[in-house]
Amino acid sequence: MNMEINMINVPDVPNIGAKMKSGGYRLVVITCTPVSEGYVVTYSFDKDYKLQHYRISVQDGVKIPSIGPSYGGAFVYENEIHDLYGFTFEGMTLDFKGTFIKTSIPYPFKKKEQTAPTVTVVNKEAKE
Amino acid sequence: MKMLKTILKQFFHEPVTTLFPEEPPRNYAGTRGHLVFDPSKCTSCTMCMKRCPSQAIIVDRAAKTWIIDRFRCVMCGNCVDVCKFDSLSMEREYSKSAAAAERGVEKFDITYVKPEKPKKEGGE
Amino acid sequence: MTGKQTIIPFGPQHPVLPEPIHLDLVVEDERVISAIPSIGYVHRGLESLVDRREYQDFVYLAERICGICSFTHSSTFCQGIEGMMGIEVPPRATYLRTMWGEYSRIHSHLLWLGLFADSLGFESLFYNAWKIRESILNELEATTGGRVIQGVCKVGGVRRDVTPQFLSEMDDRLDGIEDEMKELTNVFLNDYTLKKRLVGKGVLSKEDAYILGAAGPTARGSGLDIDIRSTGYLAYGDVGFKPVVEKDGDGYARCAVRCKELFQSVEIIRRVMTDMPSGDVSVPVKGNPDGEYFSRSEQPRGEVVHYLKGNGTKYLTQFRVRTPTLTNVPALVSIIGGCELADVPQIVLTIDPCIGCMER
Repeated sequence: MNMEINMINVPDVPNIGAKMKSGGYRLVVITCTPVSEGYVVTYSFDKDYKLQHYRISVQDGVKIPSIGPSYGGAFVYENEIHDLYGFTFEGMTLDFKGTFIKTSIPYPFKKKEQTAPTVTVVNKEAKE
Repeated sequence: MKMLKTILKQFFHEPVTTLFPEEPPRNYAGTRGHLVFDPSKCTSCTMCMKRCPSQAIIVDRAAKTWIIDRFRCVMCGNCVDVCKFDSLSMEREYSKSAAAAERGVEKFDITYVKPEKPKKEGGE
Repeated sequence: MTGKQTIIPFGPQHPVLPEPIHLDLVVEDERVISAIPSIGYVHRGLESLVDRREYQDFVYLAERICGICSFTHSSTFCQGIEGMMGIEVPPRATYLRTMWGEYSRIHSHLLWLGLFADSLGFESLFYNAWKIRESILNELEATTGGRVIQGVCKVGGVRRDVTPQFLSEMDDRLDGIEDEMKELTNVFLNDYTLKKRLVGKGVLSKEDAYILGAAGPTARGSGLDIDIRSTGYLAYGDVGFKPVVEKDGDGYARCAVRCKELFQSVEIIRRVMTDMPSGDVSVPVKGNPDGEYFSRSEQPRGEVVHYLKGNGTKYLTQFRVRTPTLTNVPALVSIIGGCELADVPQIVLTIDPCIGCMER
């Protein structure tokens, strides 16, 4: 399992998309992960069962260019990251404007000011 | 002619469905049906409470009670694996359907008494 | 002569849909111009629970991402943790995981065949498919303790062993199941009505399937040779494996892939049973995972990717699942464009949508 990750800059994303498409790769997944400073977005491509990862480091409010022009199927991942983490993608092939996954709390996976408790405290009165 | 075989089979084979409310549902020796608690063995170590993925178990050390919410329990059997005192076990029968008011939360009083340490002989 | 464009909402509640997905169909006369999907009816946010449960307990939650391909989710999650921590799983455990994975593939495909027959109103075929599925579920319950949620995987191996005597009995029962499945798939592949509803409907070309990222039977029905089992994870490398591929790319091809995979799975189970090595089924696990890992495996619906990130504590920091249905949605949108309105329910069903899985 290839875990080598190439760091790239945010404006290079569409170029990488075009490069991978001409190289015969298919898009596997776009993952957004909160890290200690901001977030990282990882693009994973596959060719002959070999994964190739590219990663960008982003802060809140950064607009990420979409790889939709190269990969038509990227809109599901991009809309999902928009709806769950609150990032804006520019130039998506199908832009749902935050209605792809409708959640009662906006951007539920966004980093909270306060980290979630490790154990959900179940109210004792409510149980009895 | 192919149809004939299927049609004839209809008359002779047993019904494939079970008459569920009259007959108890099928189960096997390994089926995880419902959780059984033995209050006489529990030492209130709270491992089952900490490791329950659905947080169905509450162990109160001070009040000496062991409470399970049957509707939260997902029968994964994790508590049986982590219990070091054989206090929990999985039985193969499925529990009967019930409303939350009838059999939602079950409370057990822990009757375990800590055995006294055997006195050392001639140690003085 | 063309009429005005109309938008017809399809779902979230629709007789053919087992789970809620909504499609806005832009219709001109009887022809669908385009479709806009929207999801979010069953979003549970399971992924964010990972930092509140110990990684060993999260296996049971990972299993509950989906109600059908549950076993593959738990084994993929365990595979990810084991890869991150460098745990060697005993060979018997990998063989058992392969066996249960294939059993769950059979039951998932039979479920789909049944639902598909039901969507056409062919109810006796639906009952027949689910009758066979029931005997598969019985095997699963007898070996693992659960019918659809097996709960048998754990980090470092599996929780239960199967006795050799039970395996040989199972082998005999498989013969009967295989005969029944032959009769069943004969109807699916040769029946006049079914062919009329499937052949040439919802054609996905090979190039589109690749670029849109289709996975599983949807991709293999379009002639793409994508099957993660070819990489030889678990015991697939030992038993040998060749993906089932159909060239046409229409609904019939996707149905045929699933029908043929039933027998392929039976074949894999047989080989796993004969080659089953002896020994332990699990190894003790010490320490906590650190680092990140992409774990991939082949579900009944296609390739699933679990992304795991640990920080050296017993709680993982990030968990992300890319389920096959999510990546098949762009393919679905592209094949719906241009079809007849009456065919839409069948075409939606041919990608085997599993929405609970898709939204986590």
